[in-house]
Amino acid sequence: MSIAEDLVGHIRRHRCSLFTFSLAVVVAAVLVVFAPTRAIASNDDARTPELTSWSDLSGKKVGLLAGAPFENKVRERCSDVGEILYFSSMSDMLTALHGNKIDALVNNRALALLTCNRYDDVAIFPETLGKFKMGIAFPKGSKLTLEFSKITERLQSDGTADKLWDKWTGSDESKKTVPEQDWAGKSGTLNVATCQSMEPITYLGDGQMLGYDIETLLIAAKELDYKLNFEPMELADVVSYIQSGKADVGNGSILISDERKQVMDFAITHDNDLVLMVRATANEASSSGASGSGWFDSIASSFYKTFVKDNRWMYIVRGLGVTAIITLCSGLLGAALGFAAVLIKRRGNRVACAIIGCYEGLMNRMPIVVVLLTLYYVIFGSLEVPGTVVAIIAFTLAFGATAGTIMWNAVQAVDPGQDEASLALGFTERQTFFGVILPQAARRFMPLLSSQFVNLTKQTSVVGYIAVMDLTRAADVIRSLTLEAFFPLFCVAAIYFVLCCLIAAAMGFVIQKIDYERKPRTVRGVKL
Amino acid sequence: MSFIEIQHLRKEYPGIVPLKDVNATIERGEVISIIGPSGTGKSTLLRCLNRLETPTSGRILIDGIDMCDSSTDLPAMRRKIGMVFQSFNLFEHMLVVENIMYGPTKLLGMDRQEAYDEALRLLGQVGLKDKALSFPNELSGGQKQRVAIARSLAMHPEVILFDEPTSALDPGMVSEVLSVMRDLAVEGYTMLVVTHEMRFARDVCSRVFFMNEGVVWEAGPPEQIFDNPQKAETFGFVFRVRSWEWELTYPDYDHPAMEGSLSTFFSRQLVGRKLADACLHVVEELSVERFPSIARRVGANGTIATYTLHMPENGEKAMLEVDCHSLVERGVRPEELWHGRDAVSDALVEGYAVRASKRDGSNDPAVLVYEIG
Repeated sequence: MSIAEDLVGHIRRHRCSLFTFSLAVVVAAVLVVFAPTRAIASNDDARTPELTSWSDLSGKKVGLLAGAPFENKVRERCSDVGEILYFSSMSDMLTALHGNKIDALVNNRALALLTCNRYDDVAIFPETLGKFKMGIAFPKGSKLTLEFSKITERLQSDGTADKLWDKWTGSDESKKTVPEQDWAGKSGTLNVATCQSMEPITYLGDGQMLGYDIETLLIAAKELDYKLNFEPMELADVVSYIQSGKADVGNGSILISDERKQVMDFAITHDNDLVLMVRATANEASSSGASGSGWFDSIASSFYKTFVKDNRWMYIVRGLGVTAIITLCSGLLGAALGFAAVLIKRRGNRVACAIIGCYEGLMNRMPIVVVLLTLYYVIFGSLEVPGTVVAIIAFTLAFGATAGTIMWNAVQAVDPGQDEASLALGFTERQTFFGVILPQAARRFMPLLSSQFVNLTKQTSVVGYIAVMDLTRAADVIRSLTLEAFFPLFCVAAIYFVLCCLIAAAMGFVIQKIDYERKPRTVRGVKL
Repeated sequence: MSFIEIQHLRKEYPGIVPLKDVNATIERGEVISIIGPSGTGKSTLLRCLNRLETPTSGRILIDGIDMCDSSTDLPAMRRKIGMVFQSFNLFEHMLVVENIMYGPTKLLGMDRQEAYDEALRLLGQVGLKDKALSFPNELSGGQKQRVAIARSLAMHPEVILFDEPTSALDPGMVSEVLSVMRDLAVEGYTMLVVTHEMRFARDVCSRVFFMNEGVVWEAGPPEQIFDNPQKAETFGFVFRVRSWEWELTYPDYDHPAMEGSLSTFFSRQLVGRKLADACLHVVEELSVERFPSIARRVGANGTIATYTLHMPENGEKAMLEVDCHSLVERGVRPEELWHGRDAVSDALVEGYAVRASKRDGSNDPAVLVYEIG
């Protein structure tokens, strides 16, 4: 406990050093492990923010959530703010605040209050960025906007909204449940892109979506007789989903701005302050709240929250399944694609070769994330293609290009004399390739292919960009639920390591099988 | 109809025409050597015969079937035409015996055991039975080439094409391959051999094709080509391949390179060891002792002498001409050059019991002529 704080103090003093910066990342994770023992369920203690006025912000680093671009609103109030950093989830941003990587983060008041309830080392900045309307988003021109708006306006005027607000921002966790979808759903089913880390507005808890906006949406859907299909993701994805038409409804404490109104329609559900969160000055009283029962209990509690509670280990297991499927499918399909490219190139049709050259050149020089996003949001745009399938296609294309290039180089490296000798014996081109060229080329390209396959496994960790729940994304979800980074990250790192080892071992077995120089000196089907 | 008929064969590459107009007929059982300067299309001609190269125009009839016709079943025709390459091209991923079994089992549908027994028999024939379970890269060049010959024999070819089969071999390994080829010729195989081994061409072949400038310049029995060529170019070539040239430089003189070049020449010509050693001794004496000291004294550098070694009669005598013009131009008197000759002669008489003396009739005092043998 105190060691962790000492370290933090040390890092604050030497923050410019690159080494301590990377150390801070590790320490931030450790710190978060122990954070729960310090959580105190009241927010009216005497803590004071480190920063108290707009002028304090000058030269400081401010964190924003990707998909919530309020950079201008910050700069309007403090023109010489140091740097604006964008994060993909609230939990990452909070970890960064703990770890001194940023000095303030923008949040809405409901989320900020809840966070202050959990952590005593953060506080709300006294000044606000103003009051804004928040709500549910729809694709531009959707007829749903009007239907839902009528109901959400009524809920606000008849007091239902206030009751919901008290329920979700209150401290009584047992009340925080949402109604079952027990209605018929005659009007149809709506896909709802939902931010998973916006407690208490929208969040993933107990394996289902909870929160103020979720319940509001469910009340409206019940009246209109729609079934809702929630898809959990991060805020930036919600905005992309609405704009590309992949979802009918977007949910997740979305602030309604003029700029956003140009591309989306909204139904207002609540007003909310946009506030800044900063670190609190060290508070002796709250520090003493830590029990002396030691590290083991806090680690055990952390482990419990990460894996056991609400069967959260299932996220990891499902994530591993998705990662394995994407890796294996795109690995096999990619290798097949690359091999097909080699066969076509050997035929030597100039047009076909040029096309393959372009494909391989393009794919080998484009970041896989860009390919993934382009396929998902542009090429498959509004088509109903599951993210996992898009991921498999993207990685198949990428791995196919790599594998094709590797195999082609190996085939080219086989002495042309081998070709000629086989042809001169009377073998056809096809027999020559499969009987003579390929066995020799495979011995050269398989080790390279193996290491590329392991690379592929690691690369699939970016599929979270298109809201596919793979292993990495599973860790993200657990992190956003527990606001603790250590166990989820450590666990998936270990799983990736083991997975890569298994793949390397399997490939090593194949490599050994095809290595003709290691085979026993016997002749098949012959009595020597 | 002849077994192989080549009519107006032409092969063009962008910017170069290796075969201009080749006409020839070959009967079954003939052993043909194809000789000629490099770059005159000897290998191209051979590779056109089994269509590893596609001719630009002309016809090749093998057993009456046009190899250039698009409807010809090339793989089926190639099974009848064996080929042995300069670079051996054994299948590196197969054992030696599998190399030989590969064609018969896959193409002729032979039983594996039968193919294996046949392969062992062939390996015995080329003297490599104990290497059956080796990989090609564990063999020497000569052994590889003998395996390659066995591999082509396993397909029971009607003709075997040899594309410079000994050019990639160390001098010591040439004879083992040539002796296998000699046996095949005796057995009556039809063979076409592109080669620089003039002794092989003379002793084994029924006919010799001298190729020059993309055509068969002169064809005939070896006695005609080697002893009584009808064309000036043939004479020039035959004379040139029976001679060795080397430029002696100072002060940078690569003795091992010269010695290697000379040994290769002797082994090609099948020159006896005694004569070869004598020639080598003369050249060494001049190159290491005599000329460098003269060059140092007069401050010459670059080429200081040019050797030309002829083998005029069937390898029993050698004629060494030493052109010393550059030293004479530097002011060295011809008499000083002569001075060394006697010492050389004496050494040879003592050590090798061969004669080295100045041959009369040389008009140019700057050219030394030794008769060794």
